[in-house]
Amino acid sequence: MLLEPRLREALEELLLTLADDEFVLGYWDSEWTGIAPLLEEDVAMSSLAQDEIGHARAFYGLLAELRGGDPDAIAYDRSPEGFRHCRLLDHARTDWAFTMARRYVYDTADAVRLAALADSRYSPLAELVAKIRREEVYHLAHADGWLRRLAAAEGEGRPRLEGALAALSPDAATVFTPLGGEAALVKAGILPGSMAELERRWRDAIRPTFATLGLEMPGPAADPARGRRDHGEAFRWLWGEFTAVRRLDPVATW
Amino acid sequence: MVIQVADPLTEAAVWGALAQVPDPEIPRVSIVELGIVGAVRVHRGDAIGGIGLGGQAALTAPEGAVPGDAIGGITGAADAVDHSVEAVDCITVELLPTFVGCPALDVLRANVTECLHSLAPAAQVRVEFSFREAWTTDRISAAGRTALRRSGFAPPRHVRGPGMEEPGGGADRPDALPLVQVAPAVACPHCGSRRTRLESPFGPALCRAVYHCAACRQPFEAFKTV
Repeated sequence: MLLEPRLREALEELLLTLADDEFVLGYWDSEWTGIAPLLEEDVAMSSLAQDEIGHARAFYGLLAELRGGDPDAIAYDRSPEGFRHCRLLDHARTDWAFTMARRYVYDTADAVRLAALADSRYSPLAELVAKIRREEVYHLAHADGWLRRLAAAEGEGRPRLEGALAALSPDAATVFTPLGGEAALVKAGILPGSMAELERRWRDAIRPTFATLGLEMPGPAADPARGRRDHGEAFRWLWGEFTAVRRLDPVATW
Repeated sequence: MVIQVADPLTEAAVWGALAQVPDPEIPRVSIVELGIVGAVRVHRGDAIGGIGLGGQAALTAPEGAVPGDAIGGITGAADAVDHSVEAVDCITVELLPTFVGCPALDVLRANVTECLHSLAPAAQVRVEFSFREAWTTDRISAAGRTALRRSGFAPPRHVRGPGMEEPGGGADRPDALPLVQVAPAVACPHCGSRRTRLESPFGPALCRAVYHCAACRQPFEAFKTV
């Protein structure tokens, strides 16, 4: 397969953002294994983590097919500066309400993004996304259930949820950070819809739920130019965790 | 699993052999019954590389496009075989993962390869994982559903529409955010009752959910509908 170099570079960037988002979220989810508030949620978070890291592996696989090389090397051998996940995923796990608030924001944004990519003219991506969407339905149901439960909770549940949404608000829309080669991708039909258009669709999709629950909608991205760059301390810590084995013994299998 | 050497090697023989490969996690069900085998191809060739099972053009042509007028200059993978080299049987098996993050893929690949080496010791075997067609629980055969039930797992519900886009729950939920419908309940694999309740859509494996039966008061696992 031959792609014009500029288009190919843009496609690589898109795949890297998709892979890094799922990869980093999966590792944050895995931080709940063993300590979630309920046994069922412990299993759920571990299962979500496994799903997301599996999705990341598949996206890194598509990237490796384009670029050559090993998906594991892309995932584990980069410095923290090389990651292109969105800033929404730069926040630490924090408490349960925070994790569920971020899950809801991310899962709804991701659902809109995947719905668009299911029509991508880059068929390996469209095929993979068709499969992933069937799994993400369960993630969305999980996050939606918890958002409603926390919003209706008496005691500290609701204030914690509101505090989490307020803290995430400046970074919520960073899932839709414009990509460098976006115009070429849209023109080629690889990305059906600009990031700005996808963000509008996302806001339309979540507005009724936020209105019903009396929650404040997330604001615009506070620093769009750095929407997928300059990851902070929390991510550096997570990077140290998920690369620990690889740095200790690059040929270890586990 | 006893596999007889097949001579001549046919695709039917390969399907027959694969029907004896058990699922790594639920050994009473075969990978063919589960619908994991997407396609089989047997041909005489000199090499295993470059043998695709279709869908090779990565960018789909726009509607009304002239063949060859592909954007970005897309070419299909080489499908040519050089007959000057001594030909051997080549078997290509396409497997459709049940879940993208399924951790049993390496075991599956090894088991399929071993089975086909018994069937055709001289053949070159290639096992490809593919999302060309999404595996869904509707690919599980009637025999597979029975075997699942006998293994203590409730078979999945049938999916009602493409993409499982069944809007459910609150009236404020737009179709853009599809949700799972948990009703009607699946039948208990122990006593057959439909008085069952979903405890959690997340179970001990990615493909399984946890239910509870109000009739026999037993927990059980169901294959997650995807």
